[in-house]
Amino acid sequence: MSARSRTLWTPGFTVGVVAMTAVVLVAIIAPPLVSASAYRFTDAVALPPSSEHLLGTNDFGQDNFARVLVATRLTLIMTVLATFISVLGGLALGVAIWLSPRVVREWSLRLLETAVAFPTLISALIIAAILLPGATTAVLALGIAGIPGFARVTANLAGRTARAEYFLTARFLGVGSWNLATRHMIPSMAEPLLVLSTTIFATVLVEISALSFVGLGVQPPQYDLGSLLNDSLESLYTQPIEALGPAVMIIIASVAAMFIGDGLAAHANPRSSRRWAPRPRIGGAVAVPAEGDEALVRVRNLAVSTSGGETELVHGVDLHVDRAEIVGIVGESGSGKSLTALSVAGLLAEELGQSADELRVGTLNMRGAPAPADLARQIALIYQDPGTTFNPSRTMGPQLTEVLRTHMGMSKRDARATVVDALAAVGVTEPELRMKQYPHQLSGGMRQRAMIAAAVVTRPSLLIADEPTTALDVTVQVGVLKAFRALRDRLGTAILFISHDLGVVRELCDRVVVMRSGEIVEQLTAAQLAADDVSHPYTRSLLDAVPQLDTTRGKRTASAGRAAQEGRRP
Amino acid sequence: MTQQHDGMDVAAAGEHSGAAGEHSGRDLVVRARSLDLSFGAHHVLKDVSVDVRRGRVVGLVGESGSGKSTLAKAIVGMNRIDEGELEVVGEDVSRPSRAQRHRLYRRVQYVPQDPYSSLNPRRTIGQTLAEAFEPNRRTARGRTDLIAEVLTRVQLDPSLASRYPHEFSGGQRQRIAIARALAVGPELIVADEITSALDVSVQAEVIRLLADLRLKGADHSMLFITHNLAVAQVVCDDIIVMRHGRIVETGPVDAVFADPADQYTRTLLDSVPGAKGFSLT
Repeated sequence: MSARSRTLWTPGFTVGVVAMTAVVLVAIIAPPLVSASAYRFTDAVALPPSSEHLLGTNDFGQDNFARVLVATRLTLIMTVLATFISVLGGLALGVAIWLSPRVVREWSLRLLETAVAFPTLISALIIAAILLPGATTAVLALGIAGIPGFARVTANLAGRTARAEYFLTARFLGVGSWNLATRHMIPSMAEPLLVLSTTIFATVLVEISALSFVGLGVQPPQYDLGSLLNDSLESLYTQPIEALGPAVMIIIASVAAMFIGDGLAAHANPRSSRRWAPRPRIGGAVAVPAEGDEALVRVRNLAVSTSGGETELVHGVDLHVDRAEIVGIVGESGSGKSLTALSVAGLLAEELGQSADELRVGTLNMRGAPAPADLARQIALIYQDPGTTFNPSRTMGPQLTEVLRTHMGMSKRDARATVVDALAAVGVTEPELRMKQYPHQLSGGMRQRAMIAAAVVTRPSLLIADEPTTALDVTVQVGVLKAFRALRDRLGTAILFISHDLGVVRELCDRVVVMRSGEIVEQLTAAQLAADDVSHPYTRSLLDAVPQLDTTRGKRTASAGRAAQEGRRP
Repeated sequence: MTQQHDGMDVAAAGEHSGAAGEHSGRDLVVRARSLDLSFGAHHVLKDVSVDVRRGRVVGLVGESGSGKSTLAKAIVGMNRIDEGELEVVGEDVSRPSRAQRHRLYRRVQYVPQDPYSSLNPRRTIGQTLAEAFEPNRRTARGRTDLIAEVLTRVQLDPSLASRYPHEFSGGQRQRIAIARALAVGPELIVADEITSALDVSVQAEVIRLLADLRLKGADHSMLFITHNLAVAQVVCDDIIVMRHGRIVETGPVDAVFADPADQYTRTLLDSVPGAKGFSLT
């Protein structure tokens, strides 16, 4: 069985499918088999349950059990039809809204929101009251009443697809509306809508029975589960068993539909299949550096693999960072540079396996269980996106002083003063004001510098920065890089700088580690890199792949006159 | 303030330069005059005048918030301008009707940044590319040949047409996205940061492809939006520098980079790691 089908056939889903199959079989097989005892009037009226009549008989001497089995067919057919109307109508409406011009769309969405505010059963009751009561009316009423709800969800999903780039490009190719809908829009939302349809099926089943129960649905001599419930009402105190059959049948059918929906939803959500692999702790909290090992960070033979150990992502990496050294790790996506850095920080995702002969930062044993307070004090981390690292609903002040207050036991006032100094040190202008501002009031560069300041107020010995300037503009990047440099120069913080940008790393770092496919291919000093003294072909190709800005070319052509310029062009 | 390099072949016209007079309308694939655009209280484009001449690759550079993407989207009809005149491939699209935008669809192609979201994950590459050929009402047989031809053009094996997007690398996907744009034979391609989300080696692959296409005499005009000045220099003939919704400077890319007339362009150039003026001290 494939991994994907394993996530589908959960116990709940299996139970749902089995129960639904049974109900459908009953609906198909029962009527021809038991209709005689369900319809024939006999003298055996209002009998209690017996081996002959499992649920007794009603006031006309008809067998209650047989009637439940027969009624199931009509209830199911009506439910399917009403669901069908809701789903098809909702789908068409939801998709059409997103394919129509903006003005129409805006108005339709508002109208739809208003329509959704009315409970479906109330709308159905109104529609049913206007039309003549009967099975067709019940189906139409519930089908139509269900359209807005389904259309609303469809429109939400369709809106997401309509903003997808592949949808935009298809539009630019002049693909027509019908094709846009059937090729791009509907397939992209098939899964969630299928799940929603099963939920709608379950509610419609209950609601259609409710309509029949209040007499607006199926009319005698036809009967469904709802009208059976209605019939049983008169003799509820003398013959309660009569109500049991239809009630149980309604519950079985709707719960089965719910289980199926749940199973499909869980299956559609890839996260539900994620497995957990607790990582063994090796050694205590304290690591003793080997004799003569002066390095701040020492990593020996680090391997990272997927939880089951099927795929090794980082293969035996050896790495060290000296005190007050800036070490860059460069590589392309999938090189393992971030996994290596996260291992050093002790922040590797739980579902990944990790092993190493040695993994320490200072005297913290990162393979064991170092104390959280020590971790917070010794290692600081900076992520790529300065926009998401701060809580947007709080001002900068409390967020920046948090570590100092909780882990260093500083008073609020001292913590503020320390942070203001740190902000000034990394080039944040007007630090006092920034503390009172919300994150969105700061520019990206300011936020990232504030992040650096917050990270270093504890005077960590190691700062790990994962692509800290990638989301920033070049003119802003310069300032942030300067902040890193200042940090090292003034506080002696060692920095492990993860980047895909050789240009940045070359300017900032003392030493550069080049990674590819989970391995270190080359280690270079800044001087070697500057002198282009590179031996490994991969590093060479990386260097060659980066276009270099040439600010001399234009001068030559300018003096050579316009001819050279024109010559390049058709 | 708009500045130009005198006597050089310029891509963008200053507001009063009369550059529009130098080239006839047929020469220009984009002719924008004093464009203004606001999103609510946010004034995103301020008095922007730009020309893109037929057959040229024009770079549009600037930092986030400079308005470069907004301008590009206005040109392809995704953003509506508030003020000014905008002509794209000869159509006046200052206040485009739905029909006008439809007429532009196949003459102007837009290549988005992220090759992972620009291809429908549920459709094969062949199906995706077939959409580009649709209105020509070719037979299925002829269409297969066309798909093979366009895949070959972007240096991919035609047999890959039956594969799904997830089976391709980022660079291959971006080449497919470019192939799709080329397939309709557009007069203008607007490429929005198409190399920015890619690894450097993959970026190099796409840059090489663009260069190859030009060598083979592809005669389409391109507006190449990027924040990477070095990439812009490799790919483009001319450059437009934007900042805070205004055009800062325009001209042939090498000339502008060698001798920027505006202080901001200078700052931008000096901020590139490895550039002459770059310093961390």
